[in-house]
Amino acid sequence: MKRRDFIKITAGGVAALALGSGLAPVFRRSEAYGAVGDATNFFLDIMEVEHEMVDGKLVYSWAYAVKESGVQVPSLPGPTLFVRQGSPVNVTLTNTMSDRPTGEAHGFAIFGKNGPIVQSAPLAAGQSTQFTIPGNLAPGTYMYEDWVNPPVGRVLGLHGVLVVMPAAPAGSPYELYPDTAPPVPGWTPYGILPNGHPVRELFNDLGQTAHFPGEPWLPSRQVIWVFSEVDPFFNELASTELIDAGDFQRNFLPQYFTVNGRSGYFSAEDHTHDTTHVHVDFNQPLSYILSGEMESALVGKVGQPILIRNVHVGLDTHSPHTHANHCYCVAVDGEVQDLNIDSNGFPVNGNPRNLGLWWWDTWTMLPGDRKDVLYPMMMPPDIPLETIERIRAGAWHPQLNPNGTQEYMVFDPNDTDGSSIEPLNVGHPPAAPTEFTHLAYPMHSHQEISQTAAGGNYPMGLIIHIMFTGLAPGV
Amino acid sequence: MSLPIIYRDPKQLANFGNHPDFFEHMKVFVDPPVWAGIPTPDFIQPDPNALLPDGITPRFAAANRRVNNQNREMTNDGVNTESVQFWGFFDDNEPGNEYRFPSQPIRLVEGQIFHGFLHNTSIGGRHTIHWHGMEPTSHNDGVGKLSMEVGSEGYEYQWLASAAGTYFYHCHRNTVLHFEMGMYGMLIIDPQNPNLRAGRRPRRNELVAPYAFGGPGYVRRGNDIVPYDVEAIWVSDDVDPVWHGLSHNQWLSTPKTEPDGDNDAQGNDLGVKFTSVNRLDSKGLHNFNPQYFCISGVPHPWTKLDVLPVEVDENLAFLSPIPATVAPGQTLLVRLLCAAYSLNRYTFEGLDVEVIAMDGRVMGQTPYTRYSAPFKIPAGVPFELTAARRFDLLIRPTSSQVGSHRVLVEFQDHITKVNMGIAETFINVVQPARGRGRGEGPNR
Ligand SMILES: [Cu+2]
Ligand SMILES: [Cu+2]
Repeated sequence: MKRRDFIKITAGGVAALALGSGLAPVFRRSEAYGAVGDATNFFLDIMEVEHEMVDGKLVYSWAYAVKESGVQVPSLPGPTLFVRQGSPVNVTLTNTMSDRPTGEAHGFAIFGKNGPIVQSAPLAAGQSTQFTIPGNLAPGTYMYEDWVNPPVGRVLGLHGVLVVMPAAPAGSPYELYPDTAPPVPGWTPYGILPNGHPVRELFNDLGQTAHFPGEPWLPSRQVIWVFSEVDPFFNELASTELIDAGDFQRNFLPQYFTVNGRSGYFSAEDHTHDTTHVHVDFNQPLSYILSGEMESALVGKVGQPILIRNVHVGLDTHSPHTHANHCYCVAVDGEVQDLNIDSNGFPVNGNPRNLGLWWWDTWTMLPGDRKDVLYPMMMPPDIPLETIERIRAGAWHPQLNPNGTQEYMVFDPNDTDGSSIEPLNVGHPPAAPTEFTHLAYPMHSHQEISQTAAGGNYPMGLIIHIMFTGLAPGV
Repeated sequence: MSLPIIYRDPKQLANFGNHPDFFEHMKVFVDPPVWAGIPTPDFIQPDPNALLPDGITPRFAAANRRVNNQNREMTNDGVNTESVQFWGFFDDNEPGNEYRFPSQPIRLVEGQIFHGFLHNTSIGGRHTIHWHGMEPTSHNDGVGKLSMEVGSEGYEYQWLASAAGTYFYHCHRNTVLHFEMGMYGMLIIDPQNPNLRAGRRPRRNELVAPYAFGGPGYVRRGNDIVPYDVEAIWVSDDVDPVWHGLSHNQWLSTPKTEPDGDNDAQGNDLGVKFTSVNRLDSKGLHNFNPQYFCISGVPHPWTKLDVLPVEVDENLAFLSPIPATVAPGQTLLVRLLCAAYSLNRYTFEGLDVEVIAMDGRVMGQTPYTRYSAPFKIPAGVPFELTAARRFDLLIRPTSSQVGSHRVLVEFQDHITKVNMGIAETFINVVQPARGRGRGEGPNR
C-alpha cells in the first residue's frame, strides 16, 4: 500500500506549524467552556484530519467538525452536543471531504432501541443536507454516527455523543439550571422520576443520608467517556480506497485504544480543573464541547458524586474498571434502570432494565453500548478507620499545580496528626522513602490489551485518572 | 495539502512552559519507582488479641506472597499437551505448593484488617499486587505508577475487608502480560457465622469464618447471611502460549534519561521511547490468540473430569477437580470470575441460577445496595462477562433435577466475537449415599 504524503510530515515541520501559529483557537480557548450553538442553524461538517496517536504517529482519520465564525473546527470524537429536553436542533450537514473513492458517502444518524431516531441522507463529497434532531427525546445519553457503510465511518472517527438534559417544569423557580442542588424533589439526570423509583432514591440519597455524606449530585458533575480503537492499516487504506465493511470487521486489529480520542498519559491526566465540571450552559437549547476541551478525569472531593456517560464507538470488547469506588449502573442504552422483579425472581416482562441498580467495579462495553454509571466519590471504603481519622486530622493535602496535573504529598509514618505534612510540587520520584502519592487512582479497561499502544508500550492505552482532592463539608 | 491535526495532547500537558516537571512525571508514568523495604505509611500494628465486635473474629489477618514461575501442561483436546510457562504468587509458608494456577487463594473475614506482604524471589524485576475490588488508600492499591512497584525487599499492603464477597488479587505491572501469565489469585471475604455474630454459644462443629474452600459456609444474600453447602469457584481464562514465551518487561515503554530532541507534533519531548511492533506479529500485545481455555487453571476438556489424568500433577489447581457435586435440597454457591481477555458467555443448563452479588457487592443490602435485589437467570439462558467481572450465584436443585447438568463457557474473540474455544464442566446433582445425612447443610 502506498503511504500518502501527508503521513510523512516530519515532527519538526508540524511542530513549527503548531508553535509558530499558536494552536488553532478551537483547541485552546482561553476559558475551557463549551460553546453555545445555534439550535435553529447548527452547521456540522464531515472532513478529513490527521489524528495524532500517543506515540506521535499521525493517522489519517475522518471527523465531524463545527463551523465557528465560518471556521471549520474538527473534533474527534465529534462535538459532544448538550441539548435541553424540548429543544429541537436543526442541523445542516455537509460532506467537505476531498474527492473520495467513487461511491463513498457519509452521513449522520442516531439509533434508538427501535431503529433510527434521526437519519440524514447519504452525502457524497461536496453534498449537503438538513435534518432535525427532535426535541422530544427522553433525557439521557445518545450516540451519533456515520450510518453509511457501518461501522467503517463510525470507527474511523465519525462518531459523537448527544446528551439530552431534562427540563424542569416551565415557570417553576427551578426552570433555569442552578448548580448548587437538585432543583426539585425527585430530580435526576433523567428528569423527575416517580416516588420509589430506584434511580430517584439513589439521587435523593446522595449528600442527604448518612451513607452518602457530602453534596448532592450537581448537573455539571458529569463526564463523557467515548471508547474507541484505531487500526492504522484501515485508516491508511481509507485514504485511497472504499473499505468493505465485512473485510473491516473480520480483519480489524487495533493497535491504539482511546478514550475521548486520547490515550495513556494524555487521557489519564486529561483535566485542567480541580473539580470535574462540564462547562456547559444547560439553560441554552444547544451547547457543545469539542474533543480538545473534553475533561475526562474524575476529580473532586470525597462526597462530590460524578455521573459517567460511557459510550463505545469501536469494535473491541471493553471492561472498564474503576479503582477506589464501585459505580452504580443507572441507565443502559438510553433506558433508565428500574427495579421490578417478580415473585419467582425474574425481571418483569423479561426486561433486564427491571433488575435494579447494580453496584459494579467493572462493567462490559460492547460495540455501540451506552451505560450511564454514578461514581459516588465516597471515601474509599477499605481504608481502615485509623487512617481515615488521620486524613480527617489533616494528614492529606493533595493539590493540583497550576496546569492541573496532580501534585504529590508526604505521608510520614511518624507523623500522627498530619502537622508536618506538606504537598510537594516535584512529581516523582519522591525525595524520601516516606513520601507516597495519595488518593489518586486509575480507571482502565480490564481487557488489558487496551492498555497498550503500537503493540506494547504499557500503560499508553485506554486509561483515566481519578483524584480525590479533599473532603466535602460533612464528610 | 496537509490536513488539520487532532493532537494527542490538546491541553499541552507536555509543554514545559506549562509543566516544568513534566519530563519527570512522564518517566514515572511509564516506569514507576521501585521502593523496597519501605514501611507502610499508615501501618497499624497488629494486636493478636484484638477481636472484631462479634467477640470471636481476630481483628487482624495476614498473608505473604513471593513471585515465582512454573511450567504447566496445557491441552485443548485432552490428548496433546504443551508445556507452558506461568508466573504466580506463592505463599512462603507453603513451599511445597509450587504448582498452583491461579495463584494461592486468600480468605478473610469481613471487618478484618489485612496485611499482605509481597516480595520477589525467583523472577527478577518488579511486580505489585492490586487487590481487585478492594478500595484502600492509593499506596496500598498496588498500581505502580500511582504509588510504587515492589522490589526484592518487599512491601506490606494494608486494607480493611469492609464488604464480604468475591474478589481477586493480581499484579498491576505491565498488566496486559503479567495478568495473562497467571499472576492472579482469588480473594474471598466471608461474613462471620450469624449464630456466632448473635453471640450464641457455638454448637458442636459450628462453622467459623474464614470457611474452607469448597464449603460449607455462609454468604450474604440481601440483608441476610445464609448457609451454603457446596462452593465452586470457577475462573474462566484463556491462554495464548506465544505470549507465555515473552520476557516480563516485553514491549514496555522506557523513559529517556534526558530530552533527545525526538519531539511530538507540538514540539515537546515526551521523555518516553516508544517501541513499535509489527501489526501481525504474534508476540505483539495487541495480538491475542488464545489456544487453551481453562476453568480455575484446568484446561478444557480436563475441566469435565472428576479425577484428573494421572500424568497431571495433583496440585495442578487449587480447586480441581472442576465439576461440582451437590444433593437435592442443598445449596450450591458458585463464585464466577472472568479472567479472560475474550468475551465470555456462560450457560448453566437445566438449573436456574440466582445472582446474589456482583463484583463483591451483595444486591439488596441496606443501605448501599437497597436500589437492587437478587434475581434469577433461567436455566439455559446465557449471560456474558468480561475481564475482572464477578457474579456470585446460588443454585438450589430439587429432587426432580437429579442428574448431570452441563455448564458451558464460550470464549469469543474480543474483536470479532467469533467463538475461539469452549470450556465445559458439570453440576452433578446426586442423592447422598445412605447414612451420610439428609443432604442438608449444617445449622439449619
Ligand atoms: Cu507482575
Ligand atoms: Cu484488576
